[in-house]
Amino acid sequence: MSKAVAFSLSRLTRPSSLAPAYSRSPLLLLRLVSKRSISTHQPWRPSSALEEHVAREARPISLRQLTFFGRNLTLERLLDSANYVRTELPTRLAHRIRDMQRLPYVVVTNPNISKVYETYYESFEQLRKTSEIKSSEENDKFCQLIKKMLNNNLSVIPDLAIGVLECRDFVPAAELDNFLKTMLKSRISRRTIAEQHVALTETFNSPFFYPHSEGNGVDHTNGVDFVGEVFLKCNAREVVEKCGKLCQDLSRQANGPDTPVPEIIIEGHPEATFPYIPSHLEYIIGELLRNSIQATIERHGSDPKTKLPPINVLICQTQQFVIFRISDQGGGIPQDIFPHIWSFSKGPRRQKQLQNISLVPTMSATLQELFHTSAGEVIDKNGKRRRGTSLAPLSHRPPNLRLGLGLPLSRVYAEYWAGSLKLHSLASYGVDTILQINKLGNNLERLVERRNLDGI
Amino acid sequence: MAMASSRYICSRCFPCPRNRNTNLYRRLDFNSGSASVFAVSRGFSSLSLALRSPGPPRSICQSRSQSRSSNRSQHNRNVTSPRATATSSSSSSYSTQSSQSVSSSSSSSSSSPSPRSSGPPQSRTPSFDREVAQLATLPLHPLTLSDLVRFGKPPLSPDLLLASASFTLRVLPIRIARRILSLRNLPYIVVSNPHISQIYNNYLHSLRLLLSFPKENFPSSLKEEARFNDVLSEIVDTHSNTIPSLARGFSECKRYVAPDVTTDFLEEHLRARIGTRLLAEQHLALHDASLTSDGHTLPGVQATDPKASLSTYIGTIDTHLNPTSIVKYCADFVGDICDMKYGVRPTVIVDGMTDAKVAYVPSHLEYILTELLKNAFRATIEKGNVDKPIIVTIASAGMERYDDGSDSDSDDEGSSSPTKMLENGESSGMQQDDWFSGVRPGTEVQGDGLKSDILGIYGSSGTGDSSGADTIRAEAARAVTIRIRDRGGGIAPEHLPLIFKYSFTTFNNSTTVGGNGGYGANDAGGLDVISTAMNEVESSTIAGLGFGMGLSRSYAQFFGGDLKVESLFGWGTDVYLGLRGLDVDR
Repeated sequence: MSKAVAFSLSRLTRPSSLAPAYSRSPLLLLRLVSKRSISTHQPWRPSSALEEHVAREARPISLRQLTFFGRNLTLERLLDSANYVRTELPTRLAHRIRDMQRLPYVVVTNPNISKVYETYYESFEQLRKTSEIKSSEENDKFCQLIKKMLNNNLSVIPDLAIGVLECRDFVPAAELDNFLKTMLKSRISRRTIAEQHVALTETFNSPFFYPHSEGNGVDHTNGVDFVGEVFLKCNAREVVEKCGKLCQDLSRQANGPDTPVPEIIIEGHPEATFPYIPSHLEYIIGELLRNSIQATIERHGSDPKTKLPPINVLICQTQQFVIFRISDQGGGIPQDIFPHIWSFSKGPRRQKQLQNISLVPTMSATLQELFHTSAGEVIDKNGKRRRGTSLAPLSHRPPNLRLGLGLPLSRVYAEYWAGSLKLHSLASYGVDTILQINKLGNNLERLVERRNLDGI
Repeated sequence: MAMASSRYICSRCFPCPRNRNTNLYRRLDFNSGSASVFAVSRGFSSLSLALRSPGPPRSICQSRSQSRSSNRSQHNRNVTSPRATATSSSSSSYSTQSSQSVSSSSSSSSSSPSPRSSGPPQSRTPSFDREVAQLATLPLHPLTLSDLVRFGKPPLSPDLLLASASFTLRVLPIRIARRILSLRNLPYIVVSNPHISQIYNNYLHSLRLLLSFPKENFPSSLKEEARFNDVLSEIVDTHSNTIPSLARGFSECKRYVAPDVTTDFLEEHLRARIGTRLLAEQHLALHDASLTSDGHTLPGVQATDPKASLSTYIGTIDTHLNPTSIVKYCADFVGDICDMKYGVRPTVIVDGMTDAKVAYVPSHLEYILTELLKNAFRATIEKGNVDKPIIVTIASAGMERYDDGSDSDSDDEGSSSPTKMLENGESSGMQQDDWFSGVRPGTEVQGDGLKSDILGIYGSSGTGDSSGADTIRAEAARAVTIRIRDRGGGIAPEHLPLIFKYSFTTFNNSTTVGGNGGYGANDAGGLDVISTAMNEVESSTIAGLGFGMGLSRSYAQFFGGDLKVESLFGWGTDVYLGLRGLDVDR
């Protein structure tokens, strides 16, 4: 296989010089194809299709635009949404495939990275071959395809993480981190628009059952909290309380029911509301609180009689932002680790984390997957809102398994909607994390780092 | 008149027989930020040539400094702690500062060759230019805390005191030469400004004084050391109140220079100045702490000396600095001023590891904390939240040295990676070199010799104070983080990017920005009375210039720490002051 990859890569990385030659010389093309057919089981992929999509620019979307399709949902708008997804997904995939092609040979031949590469290429081929969607039936079929892909690609995060860790000696850490960040950001973006469309389709197909009809959901146009995956009125306090409770339960589950769990105190302007994709916010807040709780317990002992210092969550809003400041007294971050907390590939504990990640087969990077649920038991009170999309708990990992991915992944999520995540460590005292969320929802997704854009 | 003649003599003592054009080459080379081996080696040869010249000015300098020595020793006689030294020297010159200018060496007599207070830049001689350029290309040793305490607890033995003096004399001219070069490269119109010109001349003058000492085996006796000490203290005094002049000069030149140029220069200059002053003050403090009151005899180095056993100071460094006590001291001080100005004062709660101890420069910490507390107090009061306490949390952790080969490159996310420690010098890109090697041109053998001398003293001289030195040399770093959390409403997002800038570069003096607390806003009318009332390191001199946050950060970063601000607008501000001190207990 490595030979085949080598071959296809050497070809693909120099498309401008070679691709025209293929088309001009059928003989050469034939020879190449025949050579491939001997040595590989990989399908033949014309690079021209990829070139064409790489040349297209992604069309970033804002949270507001994302909800636009969903308001006054009609078949026409649904089909618009479908065709946006149909053209956008292969374009964004093509950009990431090209990113991978630019990586050093040694990295892409890593089995894990190579697997992701193949998965992406396969998805790309399937999507680009889908023709325009003109009817509700075609749309349903398209949704099936998307759902299948969303499920198939759940192993991408662990695969990438392992691959990057395994390659950390070959490529500068900054380069690897940048690559992984772009990959993850793009992955979030693709899943966001895909899931949004799936959610809209389901809404469209079941007009008599609106998922959260218990409150005000019957009217589809006014007073609706959810449009697809986007929750129009995320309430800061509710999110923190929900995540806090989940993380406290998680801690009890991991450390035993009698172990004390730090209290979570919310102060500031807790009633701030803003449109957001709850799964993104919950993932970030959940990871941060989980870190804080675990650190506090480890620092102050798990004696049931101990009164643990609380975790203080300050919520504060400005015109443009909602800021969450989470302060714990969990002892801070050790000096040797601190410089690398935002890195996916660098730091002293990576070997251990590598082993841990390999225990995690799939990862959708949601809060829910932290739980061992038996027989699909829904812990999340909002679980039904997810309507079986891929963000539902499809995969599980032991809660105290340290992967070293939580903080960098949270930052990717935060930055995706033009927010930010910062951390201050007070050595051997505690940690303050500061999450800034863009409140207005009119910021475009941040798909790629500038330098990657330049490379395209 | 006296000045003119001394200049003439001093320049004559460094004859420059050849290669006037290579001078230009070297300067260009320095400007590009890379001290090439070629330039350095050329510098070595020609400088050592200059060193061999006979020293008629030596006698002149000698007599001059002797006349001043009584003055200085009198001044120092009452000094008990090094902290007091720093403050008293600045306060004394502050009080004697005349209205027309910050004149050099207020303590010196009228015969002192003080530079003119205004006018065009002093005319220079090519040989002196060469010397400056050569010195400036020499590698700059980044100052670390462990370097400063390497000579151990005072009282120092005569050998160690001489070693300290000799070291100071080696390193100081390089730093001053770099300042001169950096000033010279400013636009003509800036340096022509009377204020800047005067500072420039101060530096030229100081460098001449230092270069008038013999380069070899000096000081070789305590008498010579005393002479050097006097000159050094004069230099320290000369430069102790220059920041207002600097700020005034630059604000007068605002029209001609891009704000970035000003900011960059000031940042570099003030940062370099911290090091230069610390270096000089350290030796002065060691000198004072090692000599008895008659100024000539050293006490025995037995531990029976009460001064030695009680004091936790090594020069300007307190080896058992308790951040909590400094926080309380500064909070009391700022609170008093608030009482005076506003009639109320917010409470300050200190929590966390309140009994933490670290070796650090107390005057630096006092300056930073006063500045930060001033902002926090003012914001809290103006927001109407006086009942909400300001919470100061102190965290302290020993730092294990860790070796991860792949981690040598700095990580942009790490707030305080160890590599920062190296950057407290002036310009980056200069080769960071070992303490002694390469410090002196053409005298590498001597450099090595001195190095082993000092190691020898530590190892085998049996002077009795080696215990202190050894434990300190085996020190580990200690990280102290001080978080100051107020409820003063935070910083408006539009001001946030400006808080570390020097306000006169970003704010027009006529328009008062702010109302959202003291951070970054024009300080006029704020708590600046604090600065003027306080005789701490710099604060007496920078009232209302908006230097506070920027300079505080420079101080914090100097030994590898940092200063970060998180604004929770509408609620309050968190300031994280990270310090890298020494862990003396280990």
